[in-house]
Amino acid sequence: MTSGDHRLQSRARSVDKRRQPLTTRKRHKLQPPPGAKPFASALWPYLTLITHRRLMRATWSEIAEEISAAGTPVTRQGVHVFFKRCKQREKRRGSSYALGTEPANAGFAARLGAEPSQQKGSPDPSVQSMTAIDEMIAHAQETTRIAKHQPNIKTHKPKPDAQL
Amino acid sequence: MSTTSTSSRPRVRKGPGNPDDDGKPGPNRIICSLQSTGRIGKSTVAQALISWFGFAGVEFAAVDADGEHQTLSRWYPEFVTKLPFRETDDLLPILNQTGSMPAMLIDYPAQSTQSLLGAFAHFQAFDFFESKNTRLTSLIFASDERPSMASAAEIITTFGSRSDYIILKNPARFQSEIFMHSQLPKMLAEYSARTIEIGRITRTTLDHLDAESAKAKKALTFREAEKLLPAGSVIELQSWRNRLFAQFEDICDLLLPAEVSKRVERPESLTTAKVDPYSL
Repeated sequence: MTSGDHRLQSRARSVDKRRQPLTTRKRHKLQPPPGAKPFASALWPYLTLITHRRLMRATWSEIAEEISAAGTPVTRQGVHVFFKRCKQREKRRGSSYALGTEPANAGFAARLGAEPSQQKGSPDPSVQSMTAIDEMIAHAQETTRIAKHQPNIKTHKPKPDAQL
Repeated sequence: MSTTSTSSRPRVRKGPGNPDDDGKPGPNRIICSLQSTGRIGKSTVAQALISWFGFAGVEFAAVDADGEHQTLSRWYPEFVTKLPFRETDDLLPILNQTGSMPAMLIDYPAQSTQSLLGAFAHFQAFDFFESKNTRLTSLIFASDERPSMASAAEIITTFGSRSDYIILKNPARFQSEIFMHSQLPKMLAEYSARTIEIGRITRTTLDHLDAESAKAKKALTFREAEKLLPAGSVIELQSWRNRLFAQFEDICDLLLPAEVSKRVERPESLTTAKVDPYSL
């Protein structure tokens, strides 16, 4: 077979390929299986924990270890990326996810009301009573940032020649 | 009215520095720097201003809006209110107390120019200031760094004649050569900006200061440290402060509504004589 024949054959193949109907071509986007839910990060239930631990100046690695120990294996980058994405969404929305009302925790809060006994003694940090989480967050806010409701600015009238 | 539109109103500055002053006190002042570069001397200038207010017996309020470093509130925990600026809402407490004191000093964090300008626009802060007989004094540091100059340009363009400006040269941190050859001095000259030069403090004195702060387990102000430093460092700090106080007095109309009665003594500076060796 000469090189010209090769060229002809290859051209014939490409022409055939092009004439194939579109439906027989391989789809790049896989169809989700029937009944599948939209993707949601497994870290949503841990958002309050991550926020709290970050306010307490824990490293991403420490937080990732805690979450992994609680049954959701995750890397430090995973936690960081999730938290960053969360904050970006907050910026876009113009309001923060009120702690405990983010998508997954909203369901969790409802679950709490329905199954009060299930949460007791659970090793999963996401399954804690909401009041406990609120307390944690309130404490963290008190110790790490000034609460918004104490805006009174101190005024001073020093005596002349005060050594400030 | 939006803060982004530059006002074409003629600028009337009442106060001690104005020759057309009719004797009435000028507006109360909010003094701050919104520039987005850190380590240029913002908190040091704030410390000097607090020290001057104390010396002159001027009623003032000081706010530390830098939640990360909290430099000013560490120096003056009893005088400075901590109100970290993180979002638009954080400007509200400051607006609420506008006009209730002659001078309010705010130490804003670096990297927040855009959000601060946004907050000023959101609350239409300048209209509010005007209604409360208050005027903003923006401190513009003549830093040569590009982000610093860019944020200075943003501030000047946005605020225009609604704010007064003070250019601060800090040779210990930057040379100001690029800044002074840029468009910024011309822009600032349109608004009659005045210039202050922060003196240099020697490394030895600063090292002594750091050592004493570490010993005291507290961030010591220059005044507090003076009692603990060697005599040479004390003289240097006193001279540094007096030179700054004298400059503050010169631009008093941009910092306070009325002239201060207590003024600093101005010693004659020692000028270096230049001798031509061939003429001897």
